[in-house]
Amino acid sequence: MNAIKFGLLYALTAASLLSIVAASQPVSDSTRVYASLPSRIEINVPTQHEDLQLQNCSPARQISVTGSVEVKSNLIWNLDVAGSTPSGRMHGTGDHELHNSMTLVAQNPSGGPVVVPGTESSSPAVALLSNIAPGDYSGSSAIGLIFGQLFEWDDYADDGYQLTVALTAGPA
Amino acid sequence: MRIGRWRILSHLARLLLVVSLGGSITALSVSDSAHLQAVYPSKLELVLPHEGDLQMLGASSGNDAKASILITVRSNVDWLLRVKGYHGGRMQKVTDSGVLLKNQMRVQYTGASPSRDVVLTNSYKNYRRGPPGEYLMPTDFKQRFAWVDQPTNYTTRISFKVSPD
Repeated sequence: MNAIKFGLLYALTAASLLSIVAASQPVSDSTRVYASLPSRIEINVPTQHEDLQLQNCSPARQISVTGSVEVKSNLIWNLDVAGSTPSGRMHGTGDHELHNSMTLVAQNPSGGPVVVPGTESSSPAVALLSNIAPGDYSGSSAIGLIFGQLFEWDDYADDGYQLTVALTAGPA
Repeated sequence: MRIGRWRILSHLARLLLVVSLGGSITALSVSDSAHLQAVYPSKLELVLPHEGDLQMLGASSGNDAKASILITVRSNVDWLLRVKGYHGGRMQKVTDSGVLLKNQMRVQYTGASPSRDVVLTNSYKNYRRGPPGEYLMPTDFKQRFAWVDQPTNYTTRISFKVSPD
């Protein structure tokens, strides 16, 4: 009789232990996640560089002024430039224009110099920077620009010359 | 006459004996018991939504994209929920397994007292733990897209594991 009781007790204990061990096993599950990343390009001229002033203009002198542009892209991209006048030269208030075109140089990364083309040029836009990969900047997209203008003796003294340079970033 | 008295005394003695015996029988209590036994094993359950693959919304360079799910854990023991990703916790291009996003995916509990982000890696990391009970855990998957990441479709798998704590 005792042997039967002992056997039953042993079986129950063993079953309990087995069930506890089996149920204590970790449970895992997983899920898949998708995302679509669209192509995107942003360009921005900082406010302080929207209006640039060429200082100390004088005949036979090359005058430069520093500006910048910020480009962000997840594609390989180009940076094109174009001037707002038909010739691409600075235009005066008195219907005069300078004899030399403005030049543009990019500092970081280096690009140019390019002669700023006009709106009536056969190629109104010129690539200042070409085939820039998204990772080329290591997160920084600020590009230093140097606008250069040569004044000659035959340029008419005017109250003021101006030119708007359009900077366009697009897929390469 | 003497016999008559003896018989009377004998009956009286029997009566006293019966009464005394009867009294002692009613005073005895009897008892017995039944032994009950139940086996209540520990049990863990983990439920993730399986209505299809999760689509992250708001993917854009320089921004976070997000997908939200509700995770259910049921346990009758103290439990620990862990989470891991693959490819170092980075999403990979769907059509080219070699291209990975720059940033790792993060997971955040967004219920009461939201937790800090857990950055996914190849190894399980602790996500949530608690005492026995049923828990519904609103959870966000967050993915930062960098400007250097290629514009294309990305995917990853995220695994959860719940175990006794």
